[in-house]
Amino acid sequence: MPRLAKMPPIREDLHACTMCGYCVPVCPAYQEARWESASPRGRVYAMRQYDMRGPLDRLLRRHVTPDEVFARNAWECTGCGACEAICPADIPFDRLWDDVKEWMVESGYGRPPLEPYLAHVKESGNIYGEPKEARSAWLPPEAVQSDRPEVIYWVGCVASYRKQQVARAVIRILNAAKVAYRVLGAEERCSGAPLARMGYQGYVKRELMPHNIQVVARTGAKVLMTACAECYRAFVKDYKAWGGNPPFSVLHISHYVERLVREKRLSFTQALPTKVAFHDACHMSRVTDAYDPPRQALRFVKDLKVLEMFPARDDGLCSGAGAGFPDVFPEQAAGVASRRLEDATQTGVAILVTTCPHAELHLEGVAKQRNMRIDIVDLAEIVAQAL
Amino acid sequence: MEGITFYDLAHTAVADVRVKIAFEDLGRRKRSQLAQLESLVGGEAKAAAPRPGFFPLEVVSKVECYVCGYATETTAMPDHCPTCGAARYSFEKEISLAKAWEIAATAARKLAALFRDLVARASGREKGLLEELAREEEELAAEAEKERAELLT
Repeated sequence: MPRLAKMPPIREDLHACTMCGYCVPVCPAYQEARWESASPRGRVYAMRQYDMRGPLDRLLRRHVTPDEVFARNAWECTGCGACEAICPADIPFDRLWDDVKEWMVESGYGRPPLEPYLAHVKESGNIYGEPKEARSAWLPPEAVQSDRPEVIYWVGCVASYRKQQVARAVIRILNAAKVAYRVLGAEERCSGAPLARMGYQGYVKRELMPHNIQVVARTGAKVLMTACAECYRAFVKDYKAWGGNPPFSVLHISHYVERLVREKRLSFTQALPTKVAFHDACHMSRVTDAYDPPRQALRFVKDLKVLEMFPARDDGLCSGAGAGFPDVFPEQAAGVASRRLEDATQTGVAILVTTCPHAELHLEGVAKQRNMRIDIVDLAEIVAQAL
Repeated sequence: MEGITFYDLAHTAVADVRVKIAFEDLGRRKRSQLAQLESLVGGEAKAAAPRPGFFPLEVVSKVECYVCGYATETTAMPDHCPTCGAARYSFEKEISLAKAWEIAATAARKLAALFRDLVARASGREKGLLEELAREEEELAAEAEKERAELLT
């Protein structure tokens, strides 16, 4: 049996919990597994038992030490932030679960399906283990890179290797607005947001964060812009929380489109007379509190009707793609995704728009598997179509 | 097996998180027992010999909203009361931890007696497994008694 590492400094947060249970029904893991121990309250309870263990527990050999069962429950978390949003005691769960997962990895209870991701990032800088040089293989011939860029387009692993149409759409937007931009190519590495949710935040803090901030700062650009909700949260929330303090402002493509329109550099000419449903990516909405910018960006598109799904905004459901959840619990992740897809079909639309390429990949896979007729499109693609 | 159904229902119906976790753990033990039985006799173990009366199913099979009295099956426990809109916890039952261990101890003693009874009639590998299960249940009964006694002191 592995030896348990030292508990991270989360005692105050654990004991702040009043066991009220508001976090239980909103947790996507609980909605699927239906086990109390898979819910935030159950996990907090288990850790509290461990923290309060006394000599009597040892004498009676009570099972209060986190073990394999607890570790499995720790990875039931998709990192969606629903528990933090609803918690009446304001416990910072988003950070707490990252610490707990890291604690479990250090104690030797890491999840084997997630280990390749860390190995791939260490070796080639992206989560898929694709060659570094191919990171900018998607670049279209019309992309003109500037030596003195005003903005860095941070592509992210998914848009670089799996959803390249998102990256091309962003380039179309930037070209249309005549922005001086640059793509970092092989210098860009994974932002570390998926890894930190998988329990490898130590590596992200030590290696990825300094490297990523440095390569962007070196270009002298004042703005970093990304079209990936996970990368956005890494720069906006994680790096700042870990003391990285990036010397540039970080914007999502939806913020940036809004800015370009206000500065009259971008105008929309094509009308798109369709209805779409908008899915709040967890890392763009609850975690970083950016609910309105994507909706605002979609409002610029002529004749586009954006329908809200129910539940939406801070009650919105998770897609199930976060924190390596689909690798550890494929069936549950598919269940979470199909519930969100059903919410979308109930609005009567055939297109679902979101801001997270991870969620898009996962939702597409599940929609195909379950024969659901719905297209998953990135916000950047819709905006680019309307130029 | 009745035990699994009971512990699953109880896990959903009770309010106290300590009791929930206790029931969940007990349910997990029952599941592993069923898996052992299934490995020996195949998929029929679940259907064979459903003997009622070991677990007080009636205590947890139905839940009732304490605000308006709306009653429903535990398996379909809603997140909000459909008539008065009260939150999920208005349906949850107050079963104390001592009571939970008492239920577990009583059921375990009855099951141990049943398994011992079956041991006398079985042979070969089945006998070995049944003996093991009986021993497990006796241990569980002792553990539950100990937990209960400790809570009452």
